[in-house]
Amino acid sequence: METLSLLGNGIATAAMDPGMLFAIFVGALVGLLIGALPGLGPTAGVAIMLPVAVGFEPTVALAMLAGVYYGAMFGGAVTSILLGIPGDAPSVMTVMDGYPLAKKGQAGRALGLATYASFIGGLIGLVGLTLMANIVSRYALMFGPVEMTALMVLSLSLVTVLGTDDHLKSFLALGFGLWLGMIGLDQIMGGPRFTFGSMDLLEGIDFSLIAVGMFGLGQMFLALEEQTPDRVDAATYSYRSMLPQIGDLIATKTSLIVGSLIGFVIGVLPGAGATASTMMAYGVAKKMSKEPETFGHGALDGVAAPEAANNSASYGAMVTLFTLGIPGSATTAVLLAGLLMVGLQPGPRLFQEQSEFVWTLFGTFYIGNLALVFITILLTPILAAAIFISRGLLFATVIGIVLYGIYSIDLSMPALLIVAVFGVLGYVMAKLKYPAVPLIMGVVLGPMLELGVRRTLIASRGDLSVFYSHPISLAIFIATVIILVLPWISRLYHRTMKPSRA
Amino acid sequence: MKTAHLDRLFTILMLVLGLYVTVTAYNYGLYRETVPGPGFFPAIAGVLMTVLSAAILFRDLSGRMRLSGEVALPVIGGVAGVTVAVVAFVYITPLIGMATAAALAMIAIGYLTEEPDRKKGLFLPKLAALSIAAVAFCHVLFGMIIRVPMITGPFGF
Repeated sequence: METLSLLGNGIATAAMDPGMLFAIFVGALVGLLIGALPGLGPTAGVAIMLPVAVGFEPTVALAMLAGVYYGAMFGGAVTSILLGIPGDAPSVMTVMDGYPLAKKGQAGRALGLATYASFIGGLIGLVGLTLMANIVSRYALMFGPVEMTALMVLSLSLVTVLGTDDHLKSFLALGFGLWLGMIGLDQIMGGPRFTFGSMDLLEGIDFSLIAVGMFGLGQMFLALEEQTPDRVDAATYSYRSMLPQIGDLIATKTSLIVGSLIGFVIGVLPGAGATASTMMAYGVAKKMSKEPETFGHGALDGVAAPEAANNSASYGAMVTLFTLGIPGSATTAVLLAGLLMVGLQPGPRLFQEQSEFVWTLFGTFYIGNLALVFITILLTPILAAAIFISRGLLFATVIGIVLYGIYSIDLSMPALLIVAVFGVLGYVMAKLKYPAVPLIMGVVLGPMLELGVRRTLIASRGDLSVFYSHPISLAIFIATVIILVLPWISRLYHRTMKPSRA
Repeated sequence: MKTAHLDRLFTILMLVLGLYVTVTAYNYGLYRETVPGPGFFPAIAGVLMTVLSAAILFRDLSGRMRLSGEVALPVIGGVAGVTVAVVAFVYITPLIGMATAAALAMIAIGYLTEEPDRKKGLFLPKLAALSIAAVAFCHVLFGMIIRVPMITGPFGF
């Protein structure tokens, strides 16, 4: 009841504040466009908007940034269905059945279903976020430095192991990120580390600059490899055909609910991400279907399940961010940068000390999720045309805004040099198949982990047993070891089993 | 440039960086009495980087896993061009003002990142007009709404 009342107040506060509504609208609009544009995903969108948003007051800034995140999940489906070109990675699975449906002359039906599935997935994800955030934040208050340290180690292990198949590169990216996070003054002794004599580096490298460089500029560099389509046989549709068809919603109800639940659970898990959730939701929907042979040829469930999953996953990913201060994906890591830049430290105390902020922000999510249904339907022609926008014009505009935005953060021009360096690094790492998430998590969590471990060991006078004498931390450490060892055991098992079968 | 060559170069750089971090961390001091010192955690990162980049290099040289494909010359040109434009923006802003520098940087970036066959016709006038409009928008958004002090040049903007 208390949660409901807090949420009700949050929604009311957000709905009555024109500034907040404007932030939701701008964020959702940018997100839709980013989602529709191939090459730029939600992480790039949030990173590009970061320097702009932080100029506003905290709730408005975060409402705008989160709007970009969940807006992108809606936008990706439009080009997937109409053109067969996924706007971003989480909408790849929507192409499988959305485009065949469009080719059968049912583009409007598919677009409508994708939009309502996104809404339902978003709503289920939001309810999950609301309930879990309240519960987890209360339990997390009982966590001491030892448990938090164990949790950070677990999160780093999860994002490093789950994000990619190439664990060597994944752990190398993590090591590099940990080192980047240690540049600056030592948090305990105060001495400079790896500053190369530069005064500017004493405070370390601002995490937001790394995020904007790697995910904003880096993704744009990567998009230079793609060709802008000249002419694609776009499917036709009418606004009327996009209106809700109750029959379709009833027919796909199981896929909608299962997809949303899978999306939320996978979203909560650090490192797994929205794209993985759409693949899993699609697979499960196909298995549960009475007509699995229709999948890939225009099955409604094949559109509903992944669209519900990716929207639900975006809210699931926010659970650990808000309750524990631990981001589980690249996009939530950039959102964390936004929170830190507006002076807020996410974690269980945020719910105690900044309760109004949290619940108003959650309120904006509910409003944004509903508003996106109408905005998506209204702007579908523009979103479909966005794919043909000249790359030069788009990049010039976006980078121009980034130049102003980065300068505005600290009124520092050299900050742009750091962004440029990390832009190139982001491109090179993506090209060489190094996952960026472990790096960014290393930068964010590394300093927190170091501080936690060193403080704990100072308090225990170097007694390492503090880490395994607490039952919760012991359980978390055991889980971490299992996560780290499991891929090696699995590989060994497959290697030994294959010859014996042959 | 072949992706495999870039991969090898990057791995070697990581190996060198890993060794540097490890040695420097050792000099910071791994332990102070019984608790970890300033060099303890950087040493973990350094050892991790050294060992893993050595393993990746070994895997690459032994041919067990090698990336295919290449980085196209126009892409390298685009990445380099955008980077140079951003660096140039940083250094020429104090001389000519933020608005002029940003407009010039945007025109350069737009031209460098556009596909060659699309640079014909009205592309350049469109790019110039869009750059000027975007600069005006940024001045309103950042300068007037968010109230960020802008760097002005001899023209007063």
